[in-house]
Amino acid sequence: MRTLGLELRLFLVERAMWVILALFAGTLAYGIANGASVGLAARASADAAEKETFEWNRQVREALERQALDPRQVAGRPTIALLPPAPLPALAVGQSDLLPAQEAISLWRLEKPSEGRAELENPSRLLAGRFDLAFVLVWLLPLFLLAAAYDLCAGDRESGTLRMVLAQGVTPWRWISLRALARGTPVLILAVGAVLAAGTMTEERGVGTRILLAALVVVVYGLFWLAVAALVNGFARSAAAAATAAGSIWVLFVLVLPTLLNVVVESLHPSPSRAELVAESRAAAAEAEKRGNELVSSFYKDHPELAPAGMQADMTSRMLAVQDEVGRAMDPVRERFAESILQQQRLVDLWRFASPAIAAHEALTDLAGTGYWRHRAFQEQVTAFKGVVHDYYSPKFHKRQPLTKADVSSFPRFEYVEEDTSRWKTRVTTGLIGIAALAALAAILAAFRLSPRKLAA
Amino acid sequence: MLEAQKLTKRFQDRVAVDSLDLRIEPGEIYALLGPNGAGKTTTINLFLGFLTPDSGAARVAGTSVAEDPVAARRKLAYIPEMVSLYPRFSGVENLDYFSRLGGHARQHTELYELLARSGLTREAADRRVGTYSKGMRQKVGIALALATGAKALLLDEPTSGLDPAASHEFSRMLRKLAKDGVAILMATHDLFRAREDASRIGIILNGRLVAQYSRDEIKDQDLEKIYLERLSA
Repeated sequence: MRTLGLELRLFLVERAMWVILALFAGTLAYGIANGASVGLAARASADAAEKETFEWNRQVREALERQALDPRQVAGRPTIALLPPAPLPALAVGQSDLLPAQEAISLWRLEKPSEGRAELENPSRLLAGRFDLAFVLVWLLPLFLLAAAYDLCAGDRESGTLRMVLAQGVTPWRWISLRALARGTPVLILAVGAVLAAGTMTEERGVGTRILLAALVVVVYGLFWLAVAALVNGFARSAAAAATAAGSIWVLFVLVLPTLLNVVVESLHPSPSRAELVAESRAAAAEAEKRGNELVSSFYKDHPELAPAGMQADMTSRMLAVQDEVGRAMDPVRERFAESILQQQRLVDLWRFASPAIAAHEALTDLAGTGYWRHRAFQEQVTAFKGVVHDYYSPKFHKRQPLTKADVSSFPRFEYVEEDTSRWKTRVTTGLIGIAALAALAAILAAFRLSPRKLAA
Repeated sequence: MLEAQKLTKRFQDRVAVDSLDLRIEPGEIYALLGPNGAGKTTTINLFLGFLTPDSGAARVAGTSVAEDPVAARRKLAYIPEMVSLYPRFSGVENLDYFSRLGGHARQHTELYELLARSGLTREAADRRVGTYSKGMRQKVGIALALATGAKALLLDEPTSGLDPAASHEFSRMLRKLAKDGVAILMATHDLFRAREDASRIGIILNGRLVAQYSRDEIKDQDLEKIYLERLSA
């Protein structure tokens, strides 16, 4: 323990290290603040949506207390499907600034494509992503760790201290792992502290496991980079060479491999065009519009129980028939769209271990509740809810059946059902094991390389 | 005790150490003389286990360097020409650090005492090593040998660059260590110190130990003349 303390002192006696630690603390704080602001905005938006829904329901209930209402008066007003704020929003913004967390669903707009962001976004920010805590932990933490630990023994080799150290009868691996631990610990303490701080910025309960796992991901990811530093020192003959090699490995794992994976994913499963989706939707709508009367007659033939007296369809019934037809035409397009995105994500899940940076980012966004899978579950539930809205209001429209006080309790209401905890836990644990395996591999290679004969040569 | 049996090391076609047989008993100071590239430092590296011999064996206090290099290194101390220490640490911190690495943790009071025995005052021991002279660094090296309770001491050109007073002081401490039973191998060019301190002197040339003399054998002779004759033979 005292040796570790001396190593720590040897590290902190360098003023530059204090600057590095202060800089890292600053970037962590900035990342948390950014993530927290997005989380606060999401919370405010969700509260406003909930308040609006509550108010509307109250008004409908009071109106129905007085008299029966035409379903058009109620169904035309959108019901808001709301994805509850993420459990740990300050940890990672993830997909939450790209994919909608709420959707207004009304009977007339069931076939409109889901909207993305409502407000304009800086395109460069969309490309680079947010400067959130996950960005700092995945992209910058390795840089700060390498800045602290790139010279585990290469400088000692240059100065001659290495021979003095090795002559003491300490095994190089033990000495270097102790030194790596001493140099990595202050950086990792700050990183874990930031995760804990982000964990306090939530109104959700029961997020202890998520915070614990996030801290574990950060520690194991950090150990990977410390093992890389040890490996580099097994080869580098000078501190400058060690710094260059460590920097190159950072570029490879954090920049090149994720970009390469993105290229592969895009090539194998090209991103569907949202513009194309909208265009196809409009074309289907125009086509269905032309066949409006034919469609409504055909509908009443298939559903005579819903046909009004004299088979005279009004504008609303015609609109619904057209919308149903658009839905039928668009279903395969939408499925293709969703399938393509799903395949992309599956490929990312499969190949995330090519770089611990990808695995760590996937794990952190999953733990934050801003990852792909939670948003996908929301979209699936929204699609299902649109069906519920359709099935509830559509017969009432066709039969021109007014809504009464008794219907209030059966109005379609959206309630997001979180995925089973075991599913995200499995994904995160798999990612964690993958990063740990990569860290162990780097450590084994380093241990193999760090023999006194090779080092003292 | 330090022992080499038919110790041989080749670097490609060149034989750096050639069938070296050497036995240095506890309390003995052995000075290994030879020109640059004769194999002195290679011999020390073979005892340290930093090089693998092509044949033969090196032993430190009965422990084979090849079989258990860590245990062998724990039994010896090493003082190179320039004792490289951490310049931002004080002398006592360096001593604490290096002795702990070999599993020889000591209390601070003991460390100061060892540094004092090696000739470093308390004030100097608390100063950053970056401000130390070469002689002061050598003293930390000696203190380290004391702290680890080394059975053997390997010295590589220890007095090179030391002023006469520092060199004399260093020799005094070496003799003290030898008196305590440490086997000392000193690779050096310093004929004066070899003659003054060594109980035996060996001359190595092209990796071969070409001559050995006891203190008594060269007592009344000119060591420089003997050495130069051997080199030109």
